[in-house]
Amino acid sequence: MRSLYISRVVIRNYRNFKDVDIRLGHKQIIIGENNIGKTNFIRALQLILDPTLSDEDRRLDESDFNNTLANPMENDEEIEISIYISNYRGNVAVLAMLQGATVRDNDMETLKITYRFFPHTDDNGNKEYEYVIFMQDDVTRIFGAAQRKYLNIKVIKALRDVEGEMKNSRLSPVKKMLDEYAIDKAELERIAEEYRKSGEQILNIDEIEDLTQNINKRFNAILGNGEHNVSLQAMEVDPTKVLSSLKLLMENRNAADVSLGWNNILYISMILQTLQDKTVPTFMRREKYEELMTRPDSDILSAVYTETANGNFFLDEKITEQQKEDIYAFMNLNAPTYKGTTILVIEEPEAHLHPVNQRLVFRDVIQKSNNSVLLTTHSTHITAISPINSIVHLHSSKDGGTLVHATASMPMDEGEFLDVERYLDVKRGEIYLAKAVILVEGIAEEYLVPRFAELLGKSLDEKGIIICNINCTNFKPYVKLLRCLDVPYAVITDGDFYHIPSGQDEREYHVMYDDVSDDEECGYLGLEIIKRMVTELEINGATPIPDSVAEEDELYNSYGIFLGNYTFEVDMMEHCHGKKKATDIIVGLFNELTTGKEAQKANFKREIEEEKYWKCLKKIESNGIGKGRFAQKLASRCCKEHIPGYIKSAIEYIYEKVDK
Amino acid sequence: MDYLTKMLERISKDKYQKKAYDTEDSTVVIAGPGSGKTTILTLKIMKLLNGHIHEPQGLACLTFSKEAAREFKERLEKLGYKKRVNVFLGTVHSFCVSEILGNFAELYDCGIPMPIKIVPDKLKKEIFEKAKENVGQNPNLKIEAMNKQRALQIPGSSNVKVADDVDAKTVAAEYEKILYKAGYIDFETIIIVSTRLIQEHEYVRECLNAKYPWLVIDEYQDLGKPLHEMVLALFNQTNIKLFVVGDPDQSIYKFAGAIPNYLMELYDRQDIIPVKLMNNYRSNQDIVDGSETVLNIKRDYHAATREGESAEYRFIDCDKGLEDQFDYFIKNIIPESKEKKIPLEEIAVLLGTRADCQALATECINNNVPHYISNHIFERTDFVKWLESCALWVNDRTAVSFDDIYDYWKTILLLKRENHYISEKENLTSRIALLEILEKSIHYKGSIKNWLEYMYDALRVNEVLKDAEQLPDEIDNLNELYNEVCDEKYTDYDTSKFSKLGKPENQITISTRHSSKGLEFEVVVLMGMEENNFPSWWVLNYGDEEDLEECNRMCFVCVSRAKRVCILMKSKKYVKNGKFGPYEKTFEASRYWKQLYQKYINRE
Repeated sequence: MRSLYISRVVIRNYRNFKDVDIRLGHKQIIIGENNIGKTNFIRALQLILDPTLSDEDRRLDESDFNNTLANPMENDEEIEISIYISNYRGNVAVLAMLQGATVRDNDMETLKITYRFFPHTDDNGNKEYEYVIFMQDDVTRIFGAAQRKYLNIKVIKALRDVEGEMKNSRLSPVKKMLDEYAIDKAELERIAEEYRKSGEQILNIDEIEDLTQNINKRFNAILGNGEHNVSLQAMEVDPTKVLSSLKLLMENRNAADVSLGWNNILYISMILQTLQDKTVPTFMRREKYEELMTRPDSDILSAVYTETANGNFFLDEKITEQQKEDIYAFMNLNAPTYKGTTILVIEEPEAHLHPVNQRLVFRDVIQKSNNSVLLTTHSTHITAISPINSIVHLHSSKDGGTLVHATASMPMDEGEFLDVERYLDVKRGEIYLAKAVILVEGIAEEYLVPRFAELLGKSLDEKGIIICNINCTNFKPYVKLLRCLDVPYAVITDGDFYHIPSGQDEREYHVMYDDVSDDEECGYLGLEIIKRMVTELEINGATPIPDSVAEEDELYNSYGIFLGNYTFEVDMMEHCHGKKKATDIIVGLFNELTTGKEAQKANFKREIEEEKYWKCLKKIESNGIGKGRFAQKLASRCCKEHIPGYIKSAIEYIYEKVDK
Repeated sequence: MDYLTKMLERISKDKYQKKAYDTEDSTVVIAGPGSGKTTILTLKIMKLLNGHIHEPQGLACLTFSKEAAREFKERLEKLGYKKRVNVFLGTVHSFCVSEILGNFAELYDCGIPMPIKIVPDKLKKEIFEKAKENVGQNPNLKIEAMNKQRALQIPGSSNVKVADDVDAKTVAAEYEKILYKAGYIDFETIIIVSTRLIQEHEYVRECLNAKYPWLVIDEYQDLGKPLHEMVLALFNQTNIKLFVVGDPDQSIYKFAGAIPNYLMELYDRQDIIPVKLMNNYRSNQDIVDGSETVLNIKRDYHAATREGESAEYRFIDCDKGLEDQFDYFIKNIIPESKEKKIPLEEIAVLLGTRADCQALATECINNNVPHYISNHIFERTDFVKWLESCALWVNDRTAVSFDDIYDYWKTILLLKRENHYISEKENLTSRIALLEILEKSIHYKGSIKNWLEYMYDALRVNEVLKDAEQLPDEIDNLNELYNEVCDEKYTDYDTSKFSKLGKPENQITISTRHSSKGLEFEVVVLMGMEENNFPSWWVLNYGDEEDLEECNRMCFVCVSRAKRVCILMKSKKYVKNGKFGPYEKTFEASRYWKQLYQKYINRE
């Protein structure tokens, strides 16, 4: 059963966030460059939910106002942060404590909690800023410690102090988990006594004996009497400290000494374990078991628990889904735990994790956890495998503030998800961290467009613009995602000109416009695909799609979509027409790469001069070259003259977008 | 031995009480007069809270009156109850306002104006008159009839059927229209809308179930159809368990829509454990039997105390009107009682109407008989109760905590604030201010009248409560309270006697039969025991079987108020006003008189 989660966050005037309203899901990856406000975003949630924050921490000041506001406190500005909680209906404790927070959001019952920092004028006319955290829209319904006990947040800071926390017996998650068992005191005393006895025996070697005597002699000599007896002890024998003295071993080595990477994974696993819903305990003492057996419908107990050698009970590893449901219902009715729900925030787990472990932690530990987890990161290893609908994207706005976009409520169908996710896995999710993206449909563009940009004096790398080759012409899901994240993009795609020769009814591609007679029907497949996307995503809004090809193309350009006439190589060759230097480079490269004989090289040269580009392209695609290899090689020698107009426009377009 | 243990030991000696305490599932307890229902209710609540309900879950205990809720609270504290989250103790109305309408009315369209503003009594009456006028209805239609009809209209799963009052229905529709348009709701709306919210929205049921896995309800027979439907919806469609206490024989609010059938419908369900408390710890066996005689139903209740004691039934036959009965009472019964050393507060006279009560009161004044009319004028609202706490604090600071006193005052202060917000600093200022007022008021503590005068003035109650939508009638009520303390008899009252205001102290009690419910006296005097007076002429000529049954129950309630002595009085004739002036009409003895006479006088 998945826990509740924060389904919406609204922030006004807090730090980087002037006006943010986003919807979130159960697992969220918060990405964005350094200093963009990831920590502030988490802090906003902490103001409401973190039980470790003090009153002082919650009391903001002038510096916490968004810096676009001039003299905010003089002008009576307010800071307001609201969170909405979803999927809580099965959670009895939350329902019991927080039902007064219910509002309807999107026609669904949702819990709303608000933090407000506002000027309050008292009866004597003195103005002072106060903060209040309240439920629903009623400031008298205070969300305080009593409520926070049942709904809270735990933030694991960039994992830099794991070692310390693991060693500290009070803070150690191991200790917390042990505490939950409420182990019998008599049992602890017995262990302590055994420790003491065997410890005495073990230490019964002469060297120790000698050392102890020497210490005692010296010590008592200083004190001048023989009353104090110093001894060495091998183990903790104080019953109250037996548990805290337990050490976690990994591969028989003290966990604190193993590599930090493993340590981090261990730490996160343990934190998630402490947050688990423990309504159905994996361990039950005999007395408890027997008491529960007297309740109605207790058959399920004996079905899923097995007696241990000590007469207590373990939950079986393998139980059916039905049994899971039954035992949950039984325990919830007869021995409810009502522990409260914690939303986990992990800041930059990559700090000390090897990329392989980043994936492990994310895929196997976080994604599978029933608890809601928010994660801030700039690791592309993590973003690459994040579900597409779990992204919160922070980037800077024109006025220097931070904009937040989230994909949780982005409408995408199953196929589209798979498509984009597969691609992102390969590309390591770079696009989330990009300033802007150029979407291209093939490998040739992927190699050449960055080079072209450099030739134009507009380096893509420098501006954080990335090329994203989607290997097909289905741009729609990517455009949808980028629009949702508000990342500037440009699309470069082929025009794929075709005609329908007279007397036929099938389209024929790979012809040049000039070779088609006037009475033949012709068109551009590329335009058709783009038109479908533009209208389906309603990019054009109310603007109608013009009938004329030139006007249609112009309209798409204004949306950042740039089409060639034919296919990339053909457009490039056509663009080189009459430019000797550029043409020679292509011919020279072909000659260098082809496995064909001299005759073929001569044919290629002739055909390019005769503007039979399709034939040229065919030769590039065969003869052991291939478009990819050709483009790769060309990238190191190409010149400005090679750049087709539509690609130049695309580069200029995206550059301008980023500069804004 | 602590109080809780002592009480547990006590009930374990009564097998019926024990059974009611021991049940683990939903239970309906039929608790006749003097059967110890408050004890059972409070012990059950303690049991549930101590072992069966885990925080943050709690329970809701619903009572019919504020007074009963306060009584429960005091009793629970005595039993060791410590304040915890999500325990609701209060009237059905306050439950509906704070737990149902407050949380959910704004989420769903309920067709009522928000925010909640309760119509002041006076305005309510005006709207009712206007509604009658608008639809051209009989001007004699009573507001109670309309309210009853509104309550009956609620749909639900109960099989108890009651016929519609068509006239009232038309007026009701018009009344609600005007009321809501004016931006108000009334007490009936509160219950009706709350019930609808529960019936229609699973979310509301889930929330209530989570917060209150147990619902404890007192005086179930007094709660009408909407509440019954609310309980059925919760019981049928959630895991909420019920502990319901009531007595069908004490159901006397038919005019308001309450009939015993709703309680019995629960009692007869297969999935609810029925328990009947058979022991009466108030009256002797003769009184118990006599009350069953006038009820005309055999209940076989057993007098558990006063073993071997027999009752004194007396039948006083007077000549003319109630006047002769008053006269006999004052000249004979009072002196006799004095002789027998029966304290005045152990004597009650029960009459049919408020006017009759007033008439007797006048006679008492003329003859210097100290008396008290239980239909007192001011209501013991939370605010009055708070003033009482203040008075207590003024006399003994350890008796009540100032924190508690301030907490209530803060809710009053918040009423007037637009944003309902009070800052920490202001909180402190108001605390200090209140403390100063209380301390200064010590100066006036010698006279309750002067003290109240000072308090009203210092607290600026008129200003603070003016237009307070949650407490529309509070200022009027406080004025009534003030008028009451101005009464001569209170001149020597100091503040320590605040809690005794409006309560009998060495006085006889005069009450209508209706209002006698819940009281008990050594001696009960029933006047006007003639056929056509009780049962009334209307019931006998126009009422149906059910009306007569309710009349029987009323008489059952009256007789069972007595611990030992029951005196019935009647007159041979009454002067009536006819078309041609006053004339005398002869009356026969009431059937109840005859039944009891047959049983107790003829047997000797």
